[in-house]
Amino acid sequence: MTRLLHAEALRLATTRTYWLLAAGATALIAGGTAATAVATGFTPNISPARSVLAIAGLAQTVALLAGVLAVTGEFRHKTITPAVLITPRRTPLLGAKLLTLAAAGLLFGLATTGIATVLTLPLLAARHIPTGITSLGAAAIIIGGGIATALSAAIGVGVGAIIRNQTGAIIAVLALLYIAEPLLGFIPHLGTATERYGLGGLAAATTQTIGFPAGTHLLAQPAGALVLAGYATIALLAGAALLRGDITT
Amino acid sequence: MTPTTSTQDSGPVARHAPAAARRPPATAGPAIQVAGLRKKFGRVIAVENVSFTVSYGRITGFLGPNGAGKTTTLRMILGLIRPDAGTAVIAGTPYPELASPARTAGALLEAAAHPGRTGRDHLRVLAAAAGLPGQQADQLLDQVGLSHAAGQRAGRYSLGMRQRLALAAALLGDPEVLILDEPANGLDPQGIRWLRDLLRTLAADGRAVLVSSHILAEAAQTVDDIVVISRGRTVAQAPLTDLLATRPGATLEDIYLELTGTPQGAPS
Repeated sequence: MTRLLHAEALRLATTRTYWLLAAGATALIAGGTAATAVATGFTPNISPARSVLAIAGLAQTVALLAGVLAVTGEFRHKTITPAVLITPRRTPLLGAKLLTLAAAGLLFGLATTGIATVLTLPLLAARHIPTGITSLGAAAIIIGGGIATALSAAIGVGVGAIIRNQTGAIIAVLALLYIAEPLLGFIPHLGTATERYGLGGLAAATTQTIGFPAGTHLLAQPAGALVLAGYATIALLAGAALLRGDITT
Repeated sequence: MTPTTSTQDSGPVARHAPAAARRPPATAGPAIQVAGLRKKFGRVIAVENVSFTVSYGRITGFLGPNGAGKTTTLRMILGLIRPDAGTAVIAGTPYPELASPARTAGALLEAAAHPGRTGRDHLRVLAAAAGLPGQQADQLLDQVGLSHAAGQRAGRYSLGMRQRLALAAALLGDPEVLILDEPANGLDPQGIRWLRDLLRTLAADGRAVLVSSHILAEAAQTVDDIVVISRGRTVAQAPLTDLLATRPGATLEDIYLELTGTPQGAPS
């Protein structure tokens, strides 16, 4: 397994794709949270801090896409053939991808959520806007950001193994996050469940931020992380089962 | 087949030990043994009944028309496709169950590399997965004539260069058995000569080489043994010289067309 992890770490590090994704997302999150913290209005008693920090949720979307890319790229570029020739046992191969992407996601999530937090809280404080976030609360947000991003990458790896077509998988993920979940959120009853158990709501719960949908029904932080982990497990088990089939490209 | 003793110790595979010093094949039996392979994709029978053996120290040409089932057969030998019936073993063991697959058999099936990764990094990734030192990447690139492009992203490689890179990947574990699907694809005449010499050296070294092709003139110059499949069935297996002796004056092409049932002059 050490060999496979080494190989997967090299795979991740030796194309520009993931570095560019990470750099772009970090810049957007830093710029977005800073600009919003400077410009946002607020009503007394309702602090905008957790809404501003929700911008860092981009890290989870990017990690989900990176996980999808890591698996679907092997099929798109047909490198799955040499990969499986070297490692005929496909479940450990997928497992190594999962662990590598999740570890990278953890670091990326900690970094981006950390940057967002250390920019947002002082900027709001400088404007005398109460944040209602203690240093312990800030730590919970940052750790939650790391965990939510790691789990998102894991879900992405599973989805990529299920939907091997790269374009199809990316469109499916974006359609779920930005069209299906927000639309379902408007439907009574079902909307509440979507807010609570949809990927957006679970990421918001795990990172202790207020995303869209508005988030009055969010799960507690540990529960949110557990449900996300459950989704990742289901996607990965299904992906591993499908990966046992014939490899014809 | 006993490996031929060769005094060649320079040339394209100089990094390998000379033939005399090589350990004998792990088993006394054939390098590859295929028995009664069969595979259906949906309602299409890709491979009906394919059986043949490949010996150490020889180059075996795997010939057949497009769609005859060559690639499907090679993928079944390598455990990428699960056969509906039949068995395929390499050195007596199904490929996926080999203790160290990359050190036993190397394969070129696709000239595939991530376009954003350099040739060197492509090999480093595969070496890491096989538990081999990454420094081998540069030696291999040198061996396949790609040193000048080691740091270039594979997206900028020509088909011939990607083919050489894939060949380097096949040679990664210094394997006893090589399985190459149309390795001459995209190579220029110099490249084809180079490939022929490389395959000859590998076989002279005691290795088994199974190479699919539909360029008969090239195969006639390169191979020792011939396996012909047509419509998913083995229609011939024999040493090339024996096959040619059955029809004095006939070329490999004449015999091949007769075996595969394509009348001369008919549109292919």
